[in-house]
Amino acid sequence: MRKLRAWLLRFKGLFLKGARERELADEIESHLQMHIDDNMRAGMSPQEARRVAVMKLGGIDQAKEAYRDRATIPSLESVVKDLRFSLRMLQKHKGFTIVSALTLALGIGVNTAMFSVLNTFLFGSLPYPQSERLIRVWRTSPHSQNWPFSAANFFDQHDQNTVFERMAAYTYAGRTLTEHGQTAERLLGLAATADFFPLMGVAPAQGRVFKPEEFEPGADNVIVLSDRFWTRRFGSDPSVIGRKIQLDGKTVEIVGVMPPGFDHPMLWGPIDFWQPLTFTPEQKANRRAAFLSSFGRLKPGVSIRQAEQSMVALAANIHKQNSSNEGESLRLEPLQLSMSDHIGRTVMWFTFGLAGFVLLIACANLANLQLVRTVARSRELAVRAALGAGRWRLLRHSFTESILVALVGGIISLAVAFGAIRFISMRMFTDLPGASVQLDYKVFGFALLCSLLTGVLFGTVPAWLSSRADVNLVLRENSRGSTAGRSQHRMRHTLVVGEVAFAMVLLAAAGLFLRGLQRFLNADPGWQVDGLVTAQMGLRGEKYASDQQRVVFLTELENRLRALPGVQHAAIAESHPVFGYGSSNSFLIEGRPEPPKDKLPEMFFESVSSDYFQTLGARLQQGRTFNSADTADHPRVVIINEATARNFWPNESPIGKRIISTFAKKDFYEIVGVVNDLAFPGSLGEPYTRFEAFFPMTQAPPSYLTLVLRTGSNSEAIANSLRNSIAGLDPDLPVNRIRTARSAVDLGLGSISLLGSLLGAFATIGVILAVIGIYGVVSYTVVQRTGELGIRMALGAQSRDVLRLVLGKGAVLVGMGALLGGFGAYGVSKLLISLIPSLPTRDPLILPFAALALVAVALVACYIPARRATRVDPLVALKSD
Amino acid sequence: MSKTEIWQGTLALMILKTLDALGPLHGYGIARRIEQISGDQLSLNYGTLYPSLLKLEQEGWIAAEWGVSDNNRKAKYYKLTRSGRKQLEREAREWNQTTAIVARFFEPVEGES
Repeated sequence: MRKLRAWLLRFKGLFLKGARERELADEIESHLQMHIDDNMRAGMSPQEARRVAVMKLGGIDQAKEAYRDRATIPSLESVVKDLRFSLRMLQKHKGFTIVSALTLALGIGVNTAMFSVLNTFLFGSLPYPQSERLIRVWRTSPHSQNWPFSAANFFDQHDQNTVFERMAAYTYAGRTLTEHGQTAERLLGLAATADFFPLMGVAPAQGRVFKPEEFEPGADNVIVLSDRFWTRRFGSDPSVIGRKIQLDGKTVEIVGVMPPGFDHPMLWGPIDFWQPLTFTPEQKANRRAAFLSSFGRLKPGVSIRQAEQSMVALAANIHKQNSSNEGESLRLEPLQLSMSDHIGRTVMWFTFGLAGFVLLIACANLANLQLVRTVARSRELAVRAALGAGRWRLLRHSFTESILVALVGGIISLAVAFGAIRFISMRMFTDLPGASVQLDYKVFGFALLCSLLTGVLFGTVPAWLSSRADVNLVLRENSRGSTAGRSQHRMRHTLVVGEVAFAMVLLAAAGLFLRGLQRFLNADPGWQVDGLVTAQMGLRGEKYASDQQRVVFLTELENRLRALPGVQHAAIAESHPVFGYGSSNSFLIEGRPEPPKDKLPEMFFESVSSDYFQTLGARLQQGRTFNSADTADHPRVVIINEATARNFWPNESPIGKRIISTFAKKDFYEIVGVVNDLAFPGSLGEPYTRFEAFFPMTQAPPSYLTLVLRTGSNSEAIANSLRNSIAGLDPDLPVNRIRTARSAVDLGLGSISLLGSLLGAFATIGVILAVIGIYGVVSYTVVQRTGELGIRMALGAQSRDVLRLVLGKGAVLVGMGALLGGFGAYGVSKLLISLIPSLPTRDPLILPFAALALVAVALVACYIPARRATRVDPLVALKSD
Repeated sequence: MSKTEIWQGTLALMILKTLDALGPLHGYGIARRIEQISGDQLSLNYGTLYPSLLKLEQEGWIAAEWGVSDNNRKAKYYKLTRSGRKQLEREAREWNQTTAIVARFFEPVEGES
């Protein structure tokens, strides 16, 4: 304790210098005076008395120094001294400080923002206990890496696996909530098996979760609410526990509310409630209908790799026993990764990598600035080195200074990062309330690490390099009338070339990407996106149980839609081709040999009403569309797309040919028409099949509906009349997601266009920083060569010659940078093509164009100081040092 | 322990004992008193006294206060604190034990000669 007290006092001593020094001086002085008095009393002369007194003290300054060492902490004292000195220097060179700090702030800010995005999706943790052990199980097949499981398949895994503590399956449940006296609302829920809540390991905030007996069919009329839904719909009223509400016409009881954050919308989507997922014995034995997403909690000590090996073996065993699903297997991935898809992840890494280029350019700038400072001080440093100061001693100021600048830059960078994160969140989560980019200690740690590393590396390394220089050489080089050292020039020029190269890569990447995006948006999807309004609804309950009931309803609905004011054409379908069709199946062609199971062709199947193609603006190429005769008691008919026709009937007309779906294997469908290919303009993912087939709705009435309206007027007015019209048909049927196809496309491409904006911003920042760097170096060269230029002009050089000299030097550097960057940009363009193949990023014009733009801007940056060089007055130049 | 550390410890003990015997005293007075007591055998570098005084003050054994000396000079007076007195007792005891033990090594051992 005593020791600690003493240390604290000494630490305090670091800061209370003035008062202590005064007191010490007083004390020593009074000591001397008393001693002198005594000495004089003993008969000494005043001079003698003082001399003896000082000698006895051991020297005034020595005594004070010994005292000071005890008063503070000597090693810290010198750090504080360095800090004060550096602060003074930074204050003195405000321009240098501000430019360095801002440059760093931009570079680090951009990277911190990108890191926080990566952190949110890839490195962050889910808000569940020991969430790193939560592992998703996917079924894989030649068609897809992300397929759901059938009930029988899931329960086999659930019962037989040895690696999971628990396994749960779930499926999304869209339900319509009706309460007496309130408007109907469409909800999104998760129907999950009994293991779900125990597996998650989170207790409800109110009430309870499900009991085991509630997972029996018939006993499952209970739901648990998400905090968000509870707050929105019930105003966080605790008395809702026990309340009965109607979901799809069924009475269910609210038994619990989960705590905020449990619904984690970035992972699950905007979940309103959870309900038990129950199976009848027949359903449980079903191996065909695959609709279950599955995940589990790993046993402690089991790695994901071991678990995957074990599960793959188990899956193979299950397939063998049931002779099902040839060519299929499964794979495991952390649940965390389900927040992003493959394209999303590659895109994030890609962007993060390019953000790194911005930081590299910032670093090159910083190194250049630091070099200039070091050169300006090289004489002082050389003198001190000549007098015997060690290199570390010489570097300490540069070091402290760089760290200070880096920290200031790091702090400002947080503001930049927050701004960028806000922008990114706003664009990324437009459709997902409650989702946000995570800001945690890792993000702050990243910013701190970035700033320290860049500061140390790019502030100290140049200083270190120049401190290595031969003292004699420096002293000679910096003498009057000569030009500055070669090594310094070479290093600065290398940095400029590097900066230009990086800027070139950024510019080319942004250019390629934005041009690709533009072409993708402008590509003809085979239907008219603009002027189309879509809406969704679900038919549930007794009233719509049979096909016949649904056909009657759909016919009536179609008539009403057509009659809506402002609607030119109206149709009903299962889904619309903005993001891609929902359900696909393999099929066989009549009269052709059946291919092996894993080679079966896959095709999207859609139920549509007769006006579907006309409403979309698609073109019928052969045969006919559906008509009123295509009803349930007539032969089944189908319309296929052009790709299917070309692929399977390359040299003949497919009209009149018959196909059969392998799923039901009930009826043959006769091909009556061929329509042009309908592409999915809202999705950049490659669809796994290009084949499309359409059934008449009257022969296959769906329960999930997408309403498609071709309108001339605005969608807001349509939305209201659409709601009223459907409420007139059945007030308990909610319509949702009424929006234009264009806005859906924009939403679907939201993150990709966000990426475009980010790349554009990176390129802009990169080019600006590079231009600042070039400008700085050329200006500095001009200043350094003032003497030389003066001599040249005195000897008769025209300002044109001087301009050519300076500009030529700059042009060579910029040209080299652009050339190097060109190679890099070519690599990036290849990378981009392989990352997002569906984006038409191939463009031979972008690279030369980017190079030209960059060189032009860079030359302007060179021209300004070059111009200044021509105004050098030979007299002034020669007189100046 | 280095020589200076031993010296510092001894010096600290001497300072504490001096303050205990004479009451509040300034640095110069303490130095002179130590020299006197040692019978002028100890030639003290007065400058080394002040870091020791500071250390004792930081550790809370002594407290300092500005006052006026006998011949009307402003001086910083040091006095023993309550905990300083206890510390002195403790250290004096330890010192006595240590010196007694060390002394035994230099006594003529019986039977040997």
